Amino acid sequence: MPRKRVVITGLGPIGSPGIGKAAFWQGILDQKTNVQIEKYTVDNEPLAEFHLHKVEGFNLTKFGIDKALLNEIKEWKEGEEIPDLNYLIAAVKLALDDSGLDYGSEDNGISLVLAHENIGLMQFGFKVSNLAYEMLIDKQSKDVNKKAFFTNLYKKFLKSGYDVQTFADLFHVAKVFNIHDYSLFINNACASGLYAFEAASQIIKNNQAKVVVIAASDCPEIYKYLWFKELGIYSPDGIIKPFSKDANGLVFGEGSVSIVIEDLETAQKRNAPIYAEYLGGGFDLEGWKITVPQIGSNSYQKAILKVFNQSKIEKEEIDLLCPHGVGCQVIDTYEAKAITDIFGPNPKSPLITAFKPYVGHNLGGSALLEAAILLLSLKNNTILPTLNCQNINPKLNLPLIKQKTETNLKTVMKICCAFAGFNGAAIFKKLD
Amino acid sequence: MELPDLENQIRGIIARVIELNSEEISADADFINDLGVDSLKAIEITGAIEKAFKIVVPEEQIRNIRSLNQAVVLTKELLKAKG
Repeated sequence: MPRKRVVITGLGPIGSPGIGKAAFWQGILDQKTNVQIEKYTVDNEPLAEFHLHKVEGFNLTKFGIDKALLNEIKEWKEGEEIPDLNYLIAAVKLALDDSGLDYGSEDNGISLVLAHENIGLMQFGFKVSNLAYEMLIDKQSKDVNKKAFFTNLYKKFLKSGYDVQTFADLFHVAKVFNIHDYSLFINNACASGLYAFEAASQIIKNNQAKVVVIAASDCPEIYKYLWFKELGIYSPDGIIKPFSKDANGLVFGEGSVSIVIEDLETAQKRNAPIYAEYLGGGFDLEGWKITVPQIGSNSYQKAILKVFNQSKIEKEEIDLLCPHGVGCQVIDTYEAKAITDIFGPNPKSPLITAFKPYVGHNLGGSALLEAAILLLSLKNNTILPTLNCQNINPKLNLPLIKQKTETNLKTVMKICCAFAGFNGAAIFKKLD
Repeated sequence: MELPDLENQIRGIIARVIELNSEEISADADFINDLGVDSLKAIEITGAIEKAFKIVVPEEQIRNIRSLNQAVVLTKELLKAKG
């Protein structure tokens, strides 16, 4: 039996440039980064503020999704809106509509792979902290023993606490779209999107399904910001400057993305729009530290070499490469070393451009969101410039695209080096 | 391991990573201000020490290793904790 070929037939991006494929791409071309300052207050007292790439005009009720199903989710969340889950649902809707697939029936044969670092956990943590504080205040006036304190706390969040588990989000999203086939939840930090792509393609190649919807998102919030600030990797000026001498950290980006993949035969039978073929992924787990890459290791290089082997592509065939490009000195240097080890110092090919300055860092959704931008670049034969890279660090030997260029693109590559050392690479190619 | 042996071994590791002669690395020299060690080299030094002594340096300690002395003290502590 010939090996199944996996193609991309639907895109549903949501980010600071815009909502939905057309608006999103136009926003990218217009360099609509929409960086704003997010302020967090507690009892009207400022707690923290930070820059982020903000999504504008998002309203889940405007996507034509059954309100009864959305209300069921809300009930599980005890009335609380979970922005990243809402983004995920909207992105899946956009991607399915873009693909032209009919998902109305219970037998739609669609699989689902979700990627996220932990939906709703931070909002849940905030709720628990808030209640714990209120109960502590109460304790000062009354004699509340520890057992009563914990009993009340657990009781209050029995349902929503249980719902923080990631399988519940897989359930919620699947239910909205009548998805009953094979389903997975993936978490490999920033590289989640690439791992999800590979897992989804394996579902097709192993005949578990003919169509898989992949979706990833993440939502910036205060806990993550405080942690990143402590680590010294959050940009104080709100400008991501990948591989720059002035790089001073990342900036969060709100949003989500969904990508529909299916086997080539199925897609061709229904005359689906085909963006590209997914040729394969390469992965390596460095596994040294959570927040620090191991300088001097060759884990990232291994992931990149593995993708060439998987996809039967020579490195000379790659037209365009999108790195993680996070704008943190240590990670940029680690990444530049891996790229130049493979392609040589100051390579003329492939062309290299980073997308985080457009959409911010969408964390667990970032690799998939940037893969979507790469696929749109491929479709539109457009190479986007890397923003904010006027002052590239010459020690890195890494040229970046500074001007928008229109040229025929055939094969593109997305790479990512994530926390915990999850290193990944993926190659996409236009169909002949 | 005796302290002088430990110190000499770590001095050798640091010298190899930052490409200096061992004699040029005094016990109190500040990595960043005196020896020109950047954050990348500090990470590489940590990795090399871990490998040599089969210890695990906590992530938050990496940026605190600023001299040979500090590296020796930390390594000694971690070896002791390992038992």
